[in-house]
Amino acid sequence: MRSTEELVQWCQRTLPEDTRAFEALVAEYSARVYATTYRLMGNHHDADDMAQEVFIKVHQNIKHIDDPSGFHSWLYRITVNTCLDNLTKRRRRSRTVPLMPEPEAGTEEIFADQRTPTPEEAALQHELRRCIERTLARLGVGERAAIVLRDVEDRSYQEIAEILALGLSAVKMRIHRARLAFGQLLATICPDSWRRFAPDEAPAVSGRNAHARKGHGNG
Amino acid sequence: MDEVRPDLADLVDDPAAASSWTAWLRDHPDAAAEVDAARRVRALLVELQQASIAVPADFQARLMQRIRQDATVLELVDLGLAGLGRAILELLAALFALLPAPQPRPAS
Repeated sequence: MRSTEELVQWCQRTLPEDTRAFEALVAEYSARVYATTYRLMGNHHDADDMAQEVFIKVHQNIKHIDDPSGFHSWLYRITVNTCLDNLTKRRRRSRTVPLMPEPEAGTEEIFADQRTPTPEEAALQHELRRCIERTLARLGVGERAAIVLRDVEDRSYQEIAEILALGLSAVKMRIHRARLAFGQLLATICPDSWRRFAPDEAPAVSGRNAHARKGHGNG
Repeated sequence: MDEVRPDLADLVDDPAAASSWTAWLRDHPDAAAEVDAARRVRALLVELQQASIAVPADFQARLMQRIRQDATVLELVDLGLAGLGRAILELLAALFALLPAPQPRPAS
């Protein structure tokens, strides 16, 4: 098993003639990139397009990376910015069309929990996730990015500030406002789900990085 | 209230910090309500961290196919440009060949 640095250097030596190193890199990172594109785009079709776009950019530009140890953050920045550029262009093209289509039927198949829930739990989880997706889809691009990166991707404020090219204080403000906007929307779209997370019933959310960052390694 | 909102975001993320804010929040019920709402949202979204998202089975195959196609197109464009360059040079050479040869100027 090669380290990321070794994989990057192998790509730099052998691309474009030999793609074996690049294929190994894609195999290693496709799940992480796809998860991020899915969370930002909100549906499979766009997530797939954006993830493909990301790896094409990696293929074209990996030779220019001076420090292979910075590959994780370079890749993450490309992933987020590719999605945000696409969402911004789409919104600019038409202000009357929703940011993205409602999550397609069968979206639940993408979620594979670590343990097998009971049928009741599964139904609730499914309903909750559909509600979250529908609500996220109605937020503005900046708000959506801010809370997805912080609360779903579990990225630090500093990292989010760098990716979104904002000051630390502005990022915190945006995340706070985005959470409030999300709550108001969810209360309208899915009042039952919102009530389930009332302060008395909400599961305790422990501090920063409480949940292991799934599939993000050192990135 | 805007000036404390960045701190409220920290407060939502880090319940350990809440104790130092208890008195202030009691005096500012609007801010306390915001913190409660933001905590509920974070609790909801954290749910998504626990879900893994499956990559389509043919993702890598499609990507590599696209990269190979792009490379082929670039090679064709390269070949096309090289061929076009050669054709332009040949055309210029033919045009210059049609021009009358310069005549020596008679000595005065």
